[in-house]
Amino acid sequence: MNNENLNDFYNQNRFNKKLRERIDSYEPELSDSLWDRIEHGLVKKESRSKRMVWMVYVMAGLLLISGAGLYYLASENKKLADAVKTKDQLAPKGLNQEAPAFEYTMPETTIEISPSPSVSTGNPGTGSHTPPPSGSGVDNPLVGDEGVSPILSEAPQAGTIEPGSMAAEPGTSSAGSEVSPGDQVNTPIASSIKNQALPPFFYSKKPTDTRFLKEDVSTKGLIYPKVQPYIGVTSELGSTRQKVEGTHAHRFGYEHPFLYRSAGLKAGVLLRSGLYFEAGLSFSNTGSNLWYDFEKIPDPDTIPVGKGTYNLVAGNKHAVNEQRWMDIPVQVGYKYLLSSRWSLNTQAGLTYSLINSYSGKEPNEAFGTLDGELDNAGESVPQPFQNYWSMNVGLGFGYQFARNWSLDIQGNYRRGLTEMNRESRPNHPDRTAEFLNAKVGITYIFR
Amino acid sequence: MTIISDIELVQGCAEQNRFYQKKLYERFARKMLAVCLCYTRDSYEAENILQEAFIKIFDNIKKYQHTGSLEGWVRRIVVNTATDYYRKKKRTKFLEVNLEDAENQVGALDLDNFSVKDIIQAVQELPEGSRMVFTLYAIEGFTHKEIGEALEISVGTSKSQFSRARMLLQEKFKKNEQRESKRFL
Repeated sequence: MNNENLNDFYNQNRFNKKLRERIDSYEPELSDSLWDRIEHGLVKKESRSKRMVWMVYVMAGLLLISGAGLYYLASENKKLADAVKTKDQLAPKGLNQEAPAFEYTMPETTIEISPSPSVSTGNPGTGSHTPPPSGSGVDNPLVGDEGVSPILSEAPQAGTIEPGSMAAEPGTSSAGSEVSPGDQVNTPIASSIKNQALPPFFYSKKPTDTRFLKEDVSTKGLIYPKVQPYIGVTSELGSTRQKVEGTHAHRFGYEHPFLYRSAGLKAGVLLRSGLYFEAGLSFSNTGSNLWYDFEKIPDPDTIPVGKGTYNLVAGNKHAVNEQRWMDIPVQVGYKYLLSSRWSLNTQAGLTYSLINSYSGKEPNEAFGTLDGELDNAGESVPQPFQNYWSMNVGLGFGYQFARNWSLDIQGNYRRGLTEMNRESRPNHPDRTAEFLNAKVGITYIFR
Repeated sequence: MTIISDIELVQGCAEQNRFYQKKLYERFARKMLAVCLCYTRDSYEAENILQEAFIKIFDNIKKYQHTGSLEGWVRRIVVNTATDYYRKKKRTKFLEVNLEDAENQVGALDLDNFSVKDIIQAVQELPEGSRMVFTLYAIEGFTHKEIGEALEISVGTSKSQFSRARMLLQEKFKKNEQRESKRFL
């Protein structure tokens, strides 16, 4: 370092030190409203954290209810499995014990126990039927209506197997063949109850109604799904606005509603009780004709427009660019069966919205910027959104147009629980999203 | 008037006691506003940054370990908030300056003839990038490496922006001096 550089270095340090001292000793006047704004921010943060605690409680409650429901289903399943084992232990000796394992895929099978010492078998779909003597049989030999196995009292006797409803094993039986007790008869239902527990999520007790099943399986079914998984696509058309807290001058502008559309996927499980749990993923956008309407501002002179705030003019409409976002809804709902095809659907849940953004041409330099701030190149800086939670309620109808397919139409109201805008400044009021929409969905149910 | 100790103040703020929060605000707000003014174009923007900084301070005061001075800790959060504010915008332009040209044109700066208000105003009139670098280097004592990390720019850019800031300040001070001397002629 030569002398010149050294001098410069010391000069610079002296200058910096002096500058620091001068700045440190300076105490400019604060505006009167600054503490109020800070306090407002603190209150907002505190209420947000309280809200988060509530949300945790709600989520925990939902989990608890779901867990209890699943536990109930599992215990019902176990009861059934125990009943099947009991039946196996008490099965008539004449039945073929070497037959193949149970076929779970047979959805339309009924066995009826008859005191008559004869067993009749039939091929599936033949429609032939040997009615049991009156008062002697039960529809389901495994579990009776009260959930207690009638096998315990009926099993030592021979039974009648209803034809036309069983996927009988090829070549092992023929329609109308008569078998005496003690004979070696290869009946599928006999083999079906050999040391088998039903797989999870299936239910062998006769359903009390035919909810959501196109066919009336209550008279034919032996195995009914307890839980029916489903997948589907959804499309949404609606109106949304940014709800402003309090009486901010920009309120009328932000609260102007605009149209949006959405497309998404959903997946869930439908319980036999009619309850369903669903999660989804959807993408939404407003199109490029989004308007914020500031024309309803009562008196432009009352707007606290300071340096860096929007230059709003009453009567002006500001075209803002396309807004986009992604939603992850988690829903719980109930389908009330109106008929064999129609159902009334209610739904409620939480939605997490993320990747909020907008782009396109802006109407003026200041709109949609952080405090109207322009960078050195004179370009505006986009105002950032943040991810937010919302809750929704919905009501609609479902129509089952095929065994596995249904169409749902539903109206929804959704309200933000947390703010969608990130900043907390006087000219950026806290805003929560609000939606009103109609949703159409096509669902494929795995049955 | 009772004087509240730092420990008491921190403890009260940690318990979200509004009385202590206001006391902390009253103790440091004006000093910190002076700091914020050097990073911004006007007092409105400075107050916005100060507002965000105080919310952060109250939110994080439990983390204060009493190892350094409370004022230093508060100041660090204010400076970080100011740099975050500009980094988030991401589109701040750092006009390229030839480092040698800028350094050659810079002479000694004398602040004695100017009030703090004039100095701050001169700093506020600097282009955004230069203003940030100048304030961080000259007032906060950051190195160019630290500035590069804070603003996500290279060390070279930081140096050139600083030299540019000094050059522009010198021009401003000279003009002011000439104006002042003309007034008294």
